Amino acid sequence: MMKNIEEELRKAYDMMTPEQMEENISDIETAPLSSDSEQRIKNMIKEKMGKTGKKGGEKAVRRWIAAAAAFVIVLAGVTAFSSENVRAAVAKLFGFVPGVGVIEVDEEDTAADSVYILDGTSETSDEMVSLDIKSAVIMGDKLELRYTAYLKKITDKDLEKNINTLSDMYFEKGYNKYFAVSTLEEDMYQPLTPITSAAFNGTEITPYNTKVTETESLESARSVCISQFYDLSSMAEGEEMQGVLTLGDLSVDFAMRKIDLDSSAEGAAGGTAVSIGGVKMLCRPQIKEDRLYIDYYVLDKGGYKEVYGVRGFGNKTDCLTVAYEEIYGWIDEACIFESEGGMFAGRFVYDLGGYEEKKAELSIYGMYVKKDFEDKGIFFEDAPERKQTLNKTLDFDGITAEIAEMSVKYYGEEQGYEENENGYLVLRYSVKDSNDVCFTNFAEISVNGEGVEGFYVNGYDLEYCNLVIPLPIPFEEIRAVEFESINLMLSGEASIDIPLQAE
Amino acid sequence: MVRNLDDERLVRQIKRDSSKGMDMLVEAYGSLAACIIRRKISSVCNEADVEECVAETFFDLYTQLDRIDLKKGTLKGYISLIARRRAIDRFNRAAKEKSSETELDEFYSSAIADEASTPEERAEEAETRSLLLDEVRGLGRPDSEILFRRYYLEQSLNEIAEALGMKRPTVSKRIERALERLRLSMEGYI
Repeated sequence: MMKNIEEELRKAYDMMTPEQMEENISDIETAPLSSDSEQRIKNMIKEKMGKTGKKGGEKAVRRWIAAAAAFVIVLAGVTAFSSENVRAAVAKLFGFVPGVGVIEVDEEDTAADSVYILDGTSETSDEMVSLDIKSAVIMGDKLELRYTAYLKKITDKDLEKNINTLSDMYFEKGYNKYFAVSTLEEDMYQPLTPITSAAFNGTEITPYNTKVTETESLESARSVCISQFYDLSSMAEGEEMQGVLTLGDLSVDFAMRKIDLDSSAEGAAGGTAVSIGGVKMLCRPQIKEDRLYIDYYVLDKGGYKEVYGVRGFGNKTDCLTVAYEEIYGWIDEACIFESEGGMFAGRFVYDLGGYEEKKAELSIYGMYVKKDFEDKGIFFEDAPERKQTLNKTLDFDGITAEIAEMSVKYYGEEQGYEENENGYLVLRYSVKDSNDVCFTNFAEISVNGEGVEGFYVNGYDLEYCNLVIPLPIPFEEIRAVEFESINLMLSGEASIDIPLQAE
Repeated sequence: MVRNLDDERLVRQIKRDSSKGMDMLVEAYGSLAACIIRRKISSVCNEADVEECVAETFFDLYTQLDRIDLKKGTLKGYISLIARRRAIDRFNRAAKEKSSETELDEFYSSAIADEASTPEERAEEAETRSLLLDEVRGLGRPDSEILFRRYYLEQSLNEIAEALGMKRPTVSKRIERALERLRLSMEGYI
């Protein structure tokens, strides 16, 4: 029995959750490495960092297409065709890249610079769960797998009734065979950890990171969105890449298709690349049941910290034009995965029901990104006044923000704010955009070097608005308010056109 | 989770000067990563492999730096998890190369879900293990730390004694008593 306890203890530690690991490891100190060993490790890390050509935290994309002209996908037709023909045309089309681009090859190219994306669709279901792989991307040595588990037995009523006891509900419904259900109060709103296994090209693989979000599906049940990241550095590269993902006892196969970024090769792409503001994205459409799904994959972040996806710019909104009529799509809510800064930027959905054209044109006008900045802020040598004029101008690479004045307010419930003992710092500011870049909002703000959350903007007038920041410290102690990153819209124009017949 | 300003400063340092920042990170947590990795792979790998695996761990962290959320975990915790995963991958590769069936089976039985068990059994096992870890936590320190050092970091009694400033026989006795308490509290589950 003693032996069993020791074995069980080892197994339990091996299966620790991240929270349990944090708890156990927090006070653990270990004997230091020898100086020689430490130096060897440092040298190996530097060598790896040197090979990727990285600086800071950004990953270099080794090959990309810089589009000199717009790529056009058109489903043109003057005669009516059935949806089936449209589907066939799109399927046939996306075996080649129609446009022309300039290939720029990074001199630090390595063998591991291929891009693979999900080939076709991969979904399966049983009486409890529908498992649907939304995206699979391999870039370099990393596999990003994003999938949803649609929990068929959870309804709106179940959620309403069990809002404070979600974990009990999941156990009762039997979802504990697909998910480890946490019973900790702090995980009340996100108690599910998927029980998964995966294999790729016959080799079992283990994710080094798993992120889980939940969202309401359009059918008012419960979709769990899971992102998993795998290291494939030990895998041999090949043209055919096959995997299998298992959730509980539900398995789904998936195949990957190599994207050949050499524009002179036909029959290779499975998507079309667009470039806006230095950001390169692959747009990959699929038609399913009279809906057009456009998946966006980031090929090159263009130096930005994060790329959220395509958007409009100014008064131009991305749209699909079918038979000269503009259709506006929506973000597939089942694809709202926790932001990772990874390759899959998201999915747009367009309703093609009722249209029998064989031609469509997708127009994109902007790209939504996040950019980091250093030393952009307001600095005080002494305690600031409770209200003071600043007239401080900050330049965010061509975008000018003027912080006109600051004040400290003590808002409360009467004003619709949460009580904050240190009050709120209100910065009255205006922003002048450049022609090609539009300011969206401040993404990350710190006060005296500590990040703050829960800030927002109100009080809009023609020129100024108020940035309201809940203060983590008394205002007299403020010495620096820094804008660490901002969200931007990059302007550009790209049209994607699909011909019916491959040339 | 209490924000760890040291971790935040370290991350900023890495972003400003990756070479220097990563050096600082290795100095802070290299020995811990080595400890975790060595525990997993020493039966099939040598010390050079351990060092390489440690380097891979830190490089993984470096490439994932943007994804790390210090509101949810510490760098120490992230490094520990990455080190464990890297070690499992390294063990798998090395064990296959050596065709060491016995060691592979032993390792699999402790680290990887039994493929023969059903999902219900796996879920039940996961629940039992979670309960066991709760019981360990209930023992309080220093017993919970002693057990973690012994059965996760695989440290020797002498190493544990030195780390905690105890005598070796004291550590041994504490382990014995803690296991007895766990055996009683987990009766019926294990």
